[in-house]
Amino acid sequence: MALSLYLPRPSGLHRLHPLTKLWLALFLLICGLALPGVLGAYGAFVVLVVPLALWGAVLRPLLVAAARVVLPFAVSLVLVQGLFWPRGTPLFGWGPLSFKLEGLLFAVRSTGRILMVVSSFLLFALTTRPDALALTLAQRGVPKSLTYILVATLQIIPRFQARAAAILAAQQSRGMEIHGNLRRRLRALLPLIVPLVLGSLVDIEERAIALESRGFSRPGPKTSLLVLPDTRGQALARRLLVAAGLALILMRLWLS
Amino acid sequence: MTYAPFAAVAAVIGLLAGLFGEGGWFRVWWKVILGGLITGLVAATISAPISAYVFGGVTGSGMDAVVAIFRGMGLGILPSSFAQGVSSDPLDKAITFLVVWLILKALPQRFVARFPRAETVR
Repeated sequence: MALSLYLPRPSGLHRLHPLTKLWLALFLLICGLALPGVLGAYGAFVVLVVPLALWGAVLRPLLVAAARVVLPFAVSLVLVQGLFWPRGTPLFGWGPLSFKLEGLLFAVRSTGRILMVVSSFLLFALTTRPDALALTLAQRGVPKSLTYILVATLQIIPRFQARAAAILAAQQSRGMEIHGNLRRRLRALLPLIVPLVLGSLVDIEERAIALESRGFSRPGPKTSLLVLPDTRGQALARRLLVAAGLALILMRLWLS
Repeated sequence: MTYAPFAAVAAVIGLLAGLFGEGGWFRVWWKVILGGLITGLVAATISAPISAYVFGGVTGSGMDAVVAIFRGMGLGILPSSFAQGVSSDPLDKAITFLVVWLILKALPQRFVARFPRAETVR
């Protein structure tokens, strides 16, 4: 069970400083939300996200993961906004139910936005080591408890899943049935939840001890084995990304 | 990860849960439910604009049937999204808070005492 989405690949995108990629992801997010028109976000996806993902050699996993998240939203949007758009122009339908032009256009536009939200995050997560992100944040003066919360949150669901799978396997090896009808599965829930919750709470204490034994709350600068190479070009690129992002937001506010 | 735009909502829920715990609301069951209802109302208020602007007002789940009802009644996207939140979040958070309370009650006293400020919840 992987504890993060990170995929190690020998690519130029992977070698970029995490801060550069963070600003890049934020810029892509702004592109997705601020570009006008029904197809604006899709344009940003094709022109920016796809080439970047190719550069990072993560296009396939990005597309698979993005599709898995975006599809339920797309279905919901087409059904809810397409069918129930108040006073829209009816296109086709059955009896009282009909798809409205305005609703479908809104669904297409919103799906594009969601695609950009998800894929900008995925591009960052697939190509950035979680510990490199934590180190970057610490170096930029983000309080270490905040950094810890951020990194721990990203890891909590995979950790929970791994623990639940281990408990299920253990209970099954003792003869507990976890398949079958609803009642049988409900009965299997309690022997799963109790050790899961108790184990996770015990885990908290173990983590605290592990962190303290590594000098977590010790004040002052610390040396890290992980060195994050940064270049002047990247520093410049980050400034440009911030400026371009702000420009997009201003353009959006000015247009509407 | 889809829920990354909702990070602010999660932070506020955590903050409120912490404040209610600090204020001793986790000692009595009805205050637990009340705290959950209040938290749900606040969560619905903050999440509606995010949901409406970023996600087109839907959640990609079964709750979207509720959004469809409000849209069908002629409400706008933001009001529909808020109405969906108000109709589900308070109940959702009240149940969540109650489960937390049950876990707190079920935990061995000795174990709870190892955490800082344990006296505010027992």
